Amino acid sequence: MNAMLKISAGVAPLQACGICKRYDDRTALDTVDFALPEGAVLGLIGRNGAGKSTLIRALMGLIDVDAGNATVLGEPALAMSDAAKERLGYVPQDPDVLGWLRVDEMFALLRGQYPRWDQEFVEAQLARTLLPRDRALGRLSPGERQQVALIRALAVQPSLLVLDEPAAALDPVARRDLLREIALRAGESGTSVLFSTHIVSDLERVASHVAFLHQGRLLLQAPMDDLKERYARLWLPSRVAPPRIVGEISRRPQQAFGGWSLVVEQIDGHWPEATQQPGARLETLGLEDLFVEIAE
Amino acid sequence: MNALARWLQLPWYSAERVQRYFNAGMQAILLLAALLFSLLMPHDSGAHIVTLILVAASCAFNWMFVGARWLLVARDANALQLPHSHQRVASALASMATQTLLLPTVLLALLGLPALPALTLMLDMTAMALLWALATRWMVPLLGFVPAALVLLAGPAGWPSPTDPKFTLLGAELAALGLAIVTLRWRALMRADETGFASSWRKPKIFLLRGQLGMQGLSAGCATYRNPHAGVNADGASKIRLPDSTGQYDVSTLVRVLLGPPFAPRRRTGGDLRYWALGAAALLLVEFAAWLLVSPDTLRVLNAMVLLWTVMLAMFLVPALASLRLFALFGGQPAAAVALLAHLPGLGDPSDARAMLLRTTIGVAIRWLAVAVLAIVALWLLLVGAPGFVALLLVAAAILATLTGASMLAALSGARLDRGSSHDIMRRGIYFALLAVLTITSSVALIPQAVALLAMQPAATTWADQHPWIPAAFTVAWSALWVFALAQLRRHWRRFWRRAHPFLQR
Repeated sequence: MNAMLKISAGVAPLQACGICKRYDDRTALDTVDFALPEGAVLGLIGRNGAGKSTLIRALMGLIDVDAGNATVLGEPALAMSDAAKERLGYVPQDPDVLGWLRVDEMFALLRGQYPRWDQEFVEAQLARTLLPRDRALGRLSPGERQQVALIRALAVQPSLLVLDEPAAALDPVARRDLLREIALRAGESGTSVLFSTHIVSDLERVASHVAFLHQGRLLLQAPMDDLKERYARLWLPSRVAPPRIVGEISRRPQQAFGGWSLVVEQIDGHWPEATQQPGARLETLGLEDLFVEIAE
Repeated sequence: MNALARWLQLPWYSAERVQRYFNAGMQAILLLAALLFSLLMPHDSGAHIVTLILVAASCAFNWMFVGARWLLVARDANALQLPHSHQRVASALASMATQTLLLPTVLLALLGLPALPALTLMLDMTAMALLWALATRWMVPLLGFVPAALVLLAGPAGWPSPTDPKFTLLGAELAALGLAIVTLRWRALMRADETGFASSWRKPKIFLLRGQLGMQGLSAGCATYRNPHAGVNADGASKIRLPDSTGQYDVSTLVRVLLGPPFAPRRRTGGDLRYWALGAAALLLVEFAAWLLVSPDTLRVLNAMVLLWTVMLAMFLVPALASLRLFALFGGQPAAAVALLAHLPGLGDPSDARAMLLRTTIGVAIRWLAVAVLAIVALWLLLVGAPGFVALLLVAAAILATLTGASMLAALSGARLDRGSSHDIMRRGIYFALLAVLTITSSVALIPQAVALLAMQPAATTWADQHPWIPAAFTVAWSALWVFALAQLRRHWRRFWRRAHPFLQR
């Protein structure tokens, strides 16, 4: 729970402090603090309805939040300047945009607005993906529309790339290409990337940081390399299990074991004292196991 | 909800929410106008025909855009092998018939109007509506002129008027013939391969209902924002016109294109041109037949009525549809176009972006209104020539512009289109309906030339001639509506300017 990165104002290209958002009687985001380190590829993972898209839209300044604030490239998300917008690439979850335009018309329409627009990249991608230039976007398949939206977002040569479930409609080849492109941009251009997903293997392949969102709360955010070292599953017999331990992330009853399985994190480099209890057993967790343990 | 309420609601679920509200609004306007006509028009004028035509038009409208969709439901249910689907479709159609045919018949009978001829006229219109939906696309513009052709032929052929009890037998025969054709066509299409048509030109209109017709194309939002076919014609070509391909567009063009239809500049595609050419040819044919069959005076009156009704309908429809599109973009599911606009460089600070958005949305609607009003005024002065109506029209147009502005600002301020805001949309529809009804009623109650035109008589008296207090009552009603419209405009203007930036999603 306390694994959030320490946020210092004006440093992270994308950050949020205490964001709350409610829809009618449902809390979509509950006091979320978040920061995307510069040059990082951060995978935001969570179950369906966890609030990933809402968090991304709040971070992008697309919705008014009930409390808290977000900044994009050092500027308030709700009042970005043209300079910030020129350096931002964003692909929403359903890029059902401009169905009334042809593929080439859409690129022609937008390229005049972005000084760093990379038309060569657009041409190369259109040739490689065999997307039909003269077809209306509305007539493309969902996967093709997603590819067009990704090309558009990458063509602006963004400093900050935000992708909301970008691989959802892509075939395996296109998905692999996308992940390679993300890694390339982050590695060569220093682009900071935030992408949401529930495909754990995508995270493992490309993300340098991971954030877990569950029921509107950001349960943990950490560098990928730290996860295996900082988080573990603790098997604790009922007779020795305290009601709550420091560093506990989640807890589930395990009848066959006769106790509890908990996800715990290290505090100041040390595991919780409960790991020393008689019968307690600590085991490392893979990313998928960690996600399932937390989200279930 | 009890079984009867469920049964009454069942047929309307074949169309999306916005379409349902649109139909309900149109039905309310047409039925209320019919009721007022029956009360206000002089009983010796023979103008009950207008009442019957309005009721029949309401019926046809519902069968075209909601009833006909049950063929698609039946096809899809059949393909999915859903159990009891045939009974469910039959039940929906029975409910639809009860609400659109039987109920108006009973109401007309209570008003002392000839109910049986009215029922047969409505059955005729129902058959026409279903034929329109089931016809191949190229036949659709021709079918639109069949009622006009029948009216023209009625005189020389000696057919009775729909207000005449003798019409019942003829109307029933026509309805039986039409419904028999509909049944045969329906059965054939149930088994037809939807993808097997050589071109969209040969495709039955009903298959285009799936993605393009009704409100779906324009609203492209609410529950159906993800309809990918908005702004794309049936052949898959874009209907939006880009001025050039240099990539250097002025910001206002850019915003209009990103907002999509009806704000974007349109491109006339080959399909559109063929469609309009066919319609124009049919119109000329009907005009020629009319020139041969009716007297020049009658023809002039008929043309005046058709033109005036068409332009007045468009005057009300276009701003309403533009508002719906904005509700879909800004108040429905998060629209990617709005996100793109929010992050688009070059729109300036939020104040500039707001002004730009207002110019490209409300500005377009107001320009359209101005053109429509000018056209109506010109037509009226040319064909009828009573300045009283012009004054009335200008007041109505000013209130319509105010209500349109208020409605579009409400949409731009993020008024919801999903479940909570259905009442909001309906309420706004009622404002427009009130204005339409007040305009029509005032015309008939105050302006003798309007009554004469509708009654197809050289001169007529009005309700106001018999009751001197009528003009004062209408003045109060108009003033109240205008004050209300201005209050709405002020409220939503403030809400719009309070937002952090103009492209917020819900």
